[in-house]
Amino acid sequence: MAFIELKHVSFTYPSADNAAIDDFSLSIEKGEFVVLFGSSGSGKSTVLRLLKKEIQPHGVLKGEMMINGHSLSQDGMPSSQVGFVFQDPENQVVADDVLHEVVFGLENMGVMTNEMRSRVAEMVHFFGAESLLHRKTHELSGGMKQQINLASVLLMQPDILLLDEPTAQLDPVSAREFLDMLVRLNEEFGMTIILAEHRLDDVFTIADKIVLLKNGKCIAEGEPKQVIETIWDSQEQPFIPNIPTLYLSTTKKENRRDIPLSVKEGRNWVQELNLIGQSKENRAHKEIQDKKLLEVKDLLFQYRKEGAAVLNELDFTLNKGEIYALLGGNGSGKSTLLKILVGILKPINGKVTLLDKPLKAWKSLEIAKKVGYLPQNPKIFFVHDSVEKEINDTMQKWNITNQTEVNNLLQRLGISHLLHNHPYDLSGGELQKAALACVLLRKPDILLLDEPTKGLDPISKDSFSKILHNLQEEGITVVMSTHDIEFAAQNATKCGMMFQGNITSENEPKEFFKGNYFYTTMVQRLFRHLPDKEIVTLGEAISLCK
Amino acid sequence: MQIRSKIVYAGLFIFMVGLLWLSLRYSDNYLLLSFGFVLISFLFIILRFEKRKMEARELVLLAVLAAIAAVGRIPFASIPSVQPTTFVIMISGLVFGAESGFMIGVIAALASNMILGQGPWTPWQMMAWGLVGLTAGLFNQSRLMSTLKGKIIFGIVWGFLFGWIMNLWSLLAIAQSGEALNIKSIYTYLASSVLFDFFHSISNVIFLVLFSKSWIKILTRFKRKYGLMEK
Amino acid sequence: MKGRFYAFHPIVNFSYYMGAILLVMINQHPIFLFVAFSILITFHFFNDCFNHMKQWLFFMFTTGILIFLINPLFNERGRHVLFEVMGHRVTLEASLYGGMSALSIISVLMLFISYNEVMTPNKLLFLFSKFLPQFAILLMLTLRFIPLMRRRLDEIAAVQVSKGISVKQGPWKERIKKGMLYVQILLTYSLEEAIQTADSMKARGYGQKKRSTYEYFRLNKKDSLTLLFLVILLSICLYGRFTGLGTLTIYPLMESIGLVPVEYFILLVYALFLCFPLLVEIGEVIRWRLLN
Repeated sequence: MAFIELKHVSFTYPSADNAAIDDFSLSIEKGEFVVLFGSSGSGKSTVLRLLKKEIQPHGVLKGEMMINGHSLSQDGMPSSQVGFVFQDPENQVVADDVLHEVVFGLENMGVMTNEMRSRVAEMVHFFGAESLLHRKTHELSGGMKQQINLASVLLMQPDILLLDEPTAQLDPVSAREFLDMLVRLNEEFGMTIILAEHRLDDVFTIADKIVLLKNGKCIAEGEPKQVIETIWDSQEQPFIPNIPTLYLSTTKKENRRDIPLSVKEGRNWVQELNLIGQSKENRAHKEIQDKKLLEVKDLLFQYRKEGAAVLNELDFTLNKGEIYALLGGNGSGKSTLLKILVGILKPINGKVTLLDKPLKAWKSLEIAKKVGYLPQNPKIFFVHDSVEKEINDTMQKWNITNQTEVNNLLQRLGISHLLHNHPYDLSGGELQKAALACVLLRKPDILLLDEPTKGLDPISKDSFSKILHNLQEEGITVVMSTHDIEFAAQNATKCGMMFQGNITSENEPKEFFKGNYFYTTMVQRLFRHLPDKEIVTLGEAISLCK
Repeated sequence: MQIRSKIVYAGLFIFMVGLLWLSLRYSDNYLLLSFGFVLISFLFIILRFEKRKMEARELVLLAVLAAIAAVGRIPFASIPSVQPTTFVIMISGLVFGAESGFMIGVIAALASNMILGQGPWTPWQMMAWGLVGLTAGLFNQSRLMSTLKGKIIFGIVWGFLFGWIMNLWSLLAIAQSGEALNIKSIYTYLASSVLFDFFHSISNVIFLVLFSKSWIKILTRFKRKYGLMEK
Repeated sequence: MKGRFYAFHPIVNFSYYMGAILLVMINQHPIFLFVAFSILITFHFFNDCFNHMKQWLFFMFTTGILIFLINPLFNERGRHVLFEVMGHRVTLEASLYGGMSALSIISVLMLFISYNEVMTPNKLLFLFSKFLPQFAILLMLTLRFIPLMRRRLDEIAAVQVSKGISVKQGPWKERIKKGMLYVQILLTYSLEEAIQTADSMKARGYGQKKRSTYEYFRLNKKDSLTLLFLVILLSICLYGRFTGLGTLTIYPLMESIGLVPVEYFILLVYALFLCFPLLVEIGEVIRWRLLN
């Protein structure tokens, strides 16, 4: 019998009509690295939670779940055997300093201090986190917090680690570090890991087994390459990462051998192809008018007088019709710049000009009319307890009376059916669209988006990129800060790299990514060794290889 | 465990009786002794709380409300002498009962003092806000408190009462011997804070009029969501 | 700056401060209070040249003056009239009384300033977790949430300002309403998110067994002896106080300010107790000098 065994498990939440998990079976061997994927609401989290007894949701559960030969419905299995890491790094933290936080689980188990000390010493060594131990938790970055959460769970010495989208809220560098840690745990200590994820490029190369869920059902299951091939011709295609997509869309079925997953495998494959000519796909760019909407000159900003400058000698110009992507690491000042552009923060020094008039001279209500701002976390956008009330309130505030126009907008964003929901009951993608609707009602000229793709599944991301292009067609200018390189490469008309409070390079995506070595798309990495091929996006690559 | 807690209770009780005796014997120190007396009744409530093993959800809920009560004044930094702390504690007491209301008030005062710096006012603030929550919880079944008018009266009364309790700490220092301080000077002392207390009351009333309905609705929704409805 | 006294077990620190506050409050005698005041001033000077006291100076000063004045202003009782203003008698008794109260309050405030330095949240949490474990968890969660809520409020304010809802503009009542709207968003949002916090506690086994506490601080022999020493000193002072020593009776008839012989002994014990942290620090300095 397998180490973890799920047999015909079904689960229905109390007030739901449909089962969240529907006849789901899965067996996992000891030491396997399993990835669950699927769109939001497909039941990934529910499966994970069912496996962790303490946080099993209430509802009707059918079928059988066994871990290591023990049925989960019976007592007798120590709870510390299964560790659980949640999505949001912030919400899991219970203590104000790191040491309190990591020993929390041990204290709950009633472990004595001497034992705790030696376990902590060991763990700190493994994580290389000596310097963090006496810090306050709220001073840590999201990535560090998530590492601490993992450490706290690992101190309880579990055999199985369940992780519910642990990297969704992290920037790419921290996410990579976190995944590397999981790989080490799996390879060096034989830990059984079950991971639910959206960002699949990295995890497919490390997983032993991947499982695709849809509406609570298991659609495909098996080795990554095998599963990718099975779902290639189905609706689930958007889940497949770039490199295998490129391979599958350019290689005929009969010629397919080994599907490349990593850049390394991909390059080997590209080397074999004899590529001639240039990519035929030229992006049909809308002509960018040379009309300045926003201009920033010599900007200086710091949060505290004694503190370091967050933005320094920054210059920035935004022309009408652009989709401008601000890229850069954590703390490079992207979000701060957006907040200055919308007038939330006031610059210490320098000039900001909006539509040929200094920003200082604008009244804040007038700015709100011209510039719409969508925060990283759309939940805090909502004041009311239903989407409809929020929209009505916005209409009233901005004297919008044309109900049909509003209905059209909702229709186009595809959220008409969600009007009566509480904003917090929506999925990430839906929530974002609902907030976007409220912003668009004001008919702003400029739209500022802070990390719009954070935590979105691939399908929502696709639909968001379509919306973005529609907005551009309508003449709305967009500035977005993002960590999502692929998204920027696909959608932006201009990319800017922020580093230490300054925009250090700025160009059209093609030129921008061509020069970069680390900070670039998967596809560009694949074709970098071919100097005459300027290929950045998947579309360009496909047209070249065909 | 059982026996230990009984010993603790008995000890506290004896201590209280002892204090009573002392205050009769040394009547010139009655204010200080009565402070000790209040402190111990305080401990009784906290011990009661300690004995009831709480679910993680309930603890987290109390902590969130206490933290909101503590940071709630930030948006009002530009408006002098307006802070919603009393309002938040009052509504929490109304929805979650006397004990929870008391704990939220006590923890909110203690935690914010631990961050901003403690002083002789700390125990008084803990007591004042604790009592706001406690009384709101005690009266939450009454007919009066279910009306807005009742809540407003409650808010006004507590605006002044709070100020008076807070004045006690300095009064305590002045009034070491009961005879030295006459009624007149107590009145004057209390009156000196009357303007502040008035603003406190007014802001309580404004918050109650504008937000008590929506806050009670929100908290009741979460009471259900956290599975605390049966209590 | 964190001295030797800081390194003692929290229970020693805490007992010292509670005892010291009690003593300066109950020993209402000009000589006692003056001694206490001098010791505390010296201690603050020795510790950090009044660095931490600076920001409290104004508050201490105004409170002291206010309390010093309020008594003679409203209280005419006493046999020794100092002077008369517009028919109001200012007596020596009332002035003395006010002076003692002021000195006592200022001393208490000075003790608290040092208390805030020494009794870090971590130490206080440790003490609570020994005696009131559940209360300690609640306090720990709250202390963790406060900075989080503060940041969330900033974010909420930013987003709402971008929507045109700002607390900095508009009439008074509108501003209060908007401010409270921010807090309401914070409430709904945080309660929603906090379910995950509770889950994370449960997933780490909270509430399944009797908890243990990570002992940050160990009570060693030195700590116990110190504690015993402090308790003995305090008991002597309290005993003295309840037999009427170390306090000045003002009404109905003012005693002589001079001390009776046994009061000198009490004063010595009293000073020794209050001096304790100072002695510890001085001892440390001397030891360093000798070693180097």
